[in-house]
Amino acid sequence: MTTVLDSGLLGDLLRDILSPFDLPPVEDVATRRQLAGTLLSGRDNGSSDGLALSYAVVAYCASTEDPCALVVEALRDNHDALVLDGVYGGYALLPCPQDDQVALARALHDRLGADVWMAVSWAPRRDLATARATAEDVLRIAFGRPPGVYELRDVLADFAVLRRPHVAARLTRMIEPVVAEPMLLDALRAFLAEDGNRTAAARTLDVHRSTLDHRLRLIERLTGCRPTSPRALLTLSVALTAHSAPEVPLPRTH
Amino acid sequence: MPFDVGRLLHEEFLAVYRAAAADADGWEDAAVTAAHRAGSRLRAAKTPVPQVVAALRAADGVLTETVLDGGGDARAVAAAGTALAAELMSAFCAAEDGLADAVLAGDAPDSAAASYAVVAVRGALPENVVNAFRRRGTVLLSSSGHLLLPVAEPAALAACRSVCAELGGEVWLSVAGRPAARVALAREEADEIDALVASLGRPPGVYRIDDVLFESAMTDTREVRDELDRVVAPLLANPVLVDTVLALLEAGGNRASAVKKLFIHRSTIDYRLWQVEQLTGLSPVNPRDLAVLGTAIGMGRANAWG
Repeated sequence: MTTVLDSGLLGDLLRDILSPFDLPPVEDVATRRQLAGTLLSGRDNGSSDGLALSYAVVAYCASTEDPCALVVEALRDNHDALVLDGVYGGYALLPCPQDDQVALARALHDRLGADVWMAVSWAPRRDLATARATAEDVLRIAFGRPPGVYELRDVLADFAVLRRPHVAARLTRMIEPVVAEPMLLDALRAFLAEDGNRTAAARTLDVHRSTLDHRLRLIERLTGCRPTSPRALLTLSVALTAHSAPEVPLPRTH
Repeated sequence: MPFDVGRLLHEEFLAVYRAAAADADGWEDAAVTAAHRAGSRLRAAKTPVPQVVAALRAADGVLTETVLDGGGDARAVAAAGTALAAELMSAFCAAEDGLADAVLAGDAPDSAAASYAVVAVRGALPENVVNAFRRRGTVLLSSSGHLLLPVAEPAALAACRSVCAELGGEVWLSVAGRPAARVALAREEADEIDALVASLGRPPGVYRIDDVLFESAMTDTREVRDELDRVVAPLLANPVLVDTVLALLEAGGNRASAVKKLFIHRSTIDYRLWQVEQLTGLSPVNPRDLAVLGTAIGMGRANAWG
């Protein structure tokens, strides 16, 4: 993992042997940025000098500018990484074999030590547009959760519903009465954040546990979903995503 | 005004019985015409099947007695009764099947209702369920085995719940309603609900799309389906872990009650759940992940069974 990030000696040697041509030098930020955009929009025109066969696509964002600058900084000397950066978010393309993408993204995240949300997906070079779209939607869902590295597996139900507008519309209608009552919405959010632990959620809300139970019963009455059932809790959680998944501040790729 | 089925049959059939008793030529053709006419009228009047059957029996008894009073060909009269009953039922039901199929195919005639609810039946023969619905109102049976109720979805749901309660046992009814012009979509939806309810191992009862919303979105999205396959593949190879996850899901995520159901020690279930997390990357002690695991197992099994 880290050998890719650190572009170690072996990597340099292999590249010299295997590819007669090279990526633009790391100093040529503008050209490399443009190349990242081209790949992410699915326009791999075959002039693939120095490019890897497959990439991890890391979509990242933060609530402030500094953490995003840290991402760019962390990858500045990585000759094989391509970055399309924006002010509050961006994409990093990291050469990566299949199934290594999560470890790779975690290694990058760990080096930052800042509140950054990351969504990672993987694809062969010609399918990067699909991987970019997946990473963007995963990031939209992750942005409503604690900072960290997320992949499709972590948000499967939410992702599916974002991709099915008619299902999202039904769930939005279902959850609207709860969203309209801040007290109930807070109770549901706390209950979800504590993974269905009532004692912990009551503590977070600073209310008595029986008060929380009462609010959860009200939520059931309004939606037909009983929050203490795993299926129903997932339905409520996904409905909140459908109702208010934020747009994330990612740069345009074309 | 209630429809007098007995009088209609008496009026239509008397001449045929008389002709048969006298062994007059051509009573067979007359029987077909009369029975067809009566069958169509009963269908138009939406007469329930049990009432038609009872009226047929009564009319046959009375008419046989009447025409044989003065002596006659008893065998021919019996044959006439059978032919009339068969023709009448065929007209009564066949035209109805035709209407159901026409509505499902998207060419609803002018006489069709404004909207229909399509019901997919699992766990019982549609022919058996259809009688329970007939006692509550009009129902059409299509050749594909779907039931069509000429009402909007809420009314159909109420009828389905009442039928389900009456039938008891292992019956699943999946319901979807649409305006008459788009009933084909309702059938697709009912089939989708039915398939999901079956593969997810939901308990018997009445289901609509709202009961399987995120699952339907998940099966409809290719990337999600592929990822679910990857999640569940290592798990399906281990039936003990699958049963543990399903037991925990059934227990609403409560480990203490799952332990009782599985007859295992608390530390055993903890170890198994740890194994599940190692294999799938999803944690069964997190309720949302547990629900995703349940969905993945259901869909994985459905795929394995083709």
